[in-house]
Amino acid sequence: MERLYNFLPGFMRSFYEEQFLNYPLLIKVAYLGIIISFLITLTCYLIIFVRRIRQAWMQPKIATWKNEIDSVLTSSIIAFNSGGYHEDDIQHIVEELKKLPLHTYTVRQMLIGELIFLHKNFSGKVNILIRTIYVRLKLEDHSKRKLKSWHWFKKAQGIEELSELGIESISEELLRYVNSKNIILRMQAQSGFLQLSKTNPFVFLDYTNQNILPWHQINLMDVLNRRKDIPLPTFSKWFQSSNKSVVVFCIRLVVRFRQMESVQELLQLIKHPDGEVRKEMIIAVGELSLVDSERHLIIHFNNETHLCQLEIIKTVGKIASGEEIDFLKRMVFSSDFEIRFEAAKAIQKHGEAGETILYTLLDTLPEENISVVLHMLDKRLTA
Amino acid sequence: MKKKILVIEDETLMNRTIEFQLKKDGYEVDTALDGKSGIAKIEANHYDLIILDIMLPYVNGLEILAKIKQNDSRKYIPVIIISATGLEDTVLEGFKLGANDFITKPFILPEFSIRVRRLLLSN
Repeated sequence: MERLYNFLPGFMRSFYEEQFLNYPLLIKVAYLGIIISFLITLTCYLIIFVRRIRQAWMQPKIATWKNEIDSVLTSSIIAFNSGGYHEDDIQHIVEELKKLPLHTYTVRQMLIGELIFLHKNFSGKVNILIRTIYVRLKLEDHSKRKLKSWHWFKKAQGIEELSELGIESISEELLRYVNSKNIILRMQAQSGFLQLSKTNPFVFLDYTNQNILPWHQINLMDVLNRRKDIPLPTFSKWFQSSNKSVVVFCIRLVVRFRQMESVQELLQLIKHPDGEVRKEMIIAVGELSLVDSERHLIIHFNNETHLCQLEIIKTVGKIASGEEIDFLKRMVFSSDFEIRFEAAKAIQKHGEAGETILYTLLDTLPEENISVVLHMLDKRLTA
Repeated sequence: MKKKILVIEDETLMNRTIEFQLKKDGYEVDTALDGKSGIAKIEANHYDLIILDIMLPYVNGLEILAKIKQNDSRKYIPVIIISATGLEDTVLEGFKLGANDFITKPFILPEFSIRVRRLLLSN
């Protein structure tokens, strides 16, 4: 401390001895606060400055590396697709890519990013080439190291890379994260497991006790849309799950893959204690156009929540079989605005016949209910 | 004479791969990385086929498609839409606007080549 003091310039030392030491404690603390804040700000500016310099220095290098990577990958893909490609040619591509400074984290990461991009955008035998490049360049180890990271985002990134490029050996390890408290890590682990498990890719649905959020479901659906090789189970087997988001997701999967063999189990969900699940089931009836199930929904109409009632009306309008038009006519008389609005809309969806019914209703409806019917009959809205 | 194709795709690697493939198939290829420059190229040149991504900066693919199909001198140019979303509504919207073909990512490059050739032959 004394040595540090001796380093200070003369005016500072005299200020310290003659003035600072005589100040009251509060002023001393304030002075120290100012000095510390100043030093912190200065350090921050220095860090930003150094990072900017580094970035500016790296930018042209990154552009050159990216260009080189793109050139090698693009030409190899085109050549590989033309057929007659042999082991020697693959080795040649690998050797070309080895010329890049792969010891640098940025370059390795950039190459992995480009390989993943290509893997996501192209299908067919080109994916074999991409995977081979990834494995032969030992980029797999780079991704595996991320799984051991303390940072969740690194882990999630590692999982994404390994699962996209089909490194099956890590599939069991992913089950550790399917219930992670971190949403992104959980999501990556689940979609990773879906892509990598050969025996039971949906088994995570048995284990997950966390919410499968809507955007998470979109992510899983995206994987299923891209990977046609994933074996699909009968999703109704998860309709009894205690996790309601699993049930909702499975209803959506039944609709997406039109698993008509699950219809009976689907209809049983009208007795489910959760309103959100029942609402999803009602939507599914409409999506699958289950004409015979309209009555089933209407029987339960009066016991339903307001949201589910609206969904039932929308579904009857969507199916538009004409069998339940009397029910819809009754609903147009409802004192609830949303109910009569959706009912009029559902009748209108029945085409010309629906329109005729709406005209006849105009004679009998009370004044406040007429406006919704006139709204539906307004041609300017449907033009 | 070589047929001239315009590729409007914002992902450089994708754009480049499609360009390489088409050049290898014997076409003259022009590229654009965003909607605005795509429109500028369409207005300044004549193309025998346009390959269009849906998600583009500035002007999206469907808007460009609508512009092409509303113009009397360009409405006969065949358009192939490439999209990562195979959503029913997007596909239908594309066809309603006059797209001649719709390719969902991921796709197989040789199949893509065949689709391009078939469209150019039928036109």
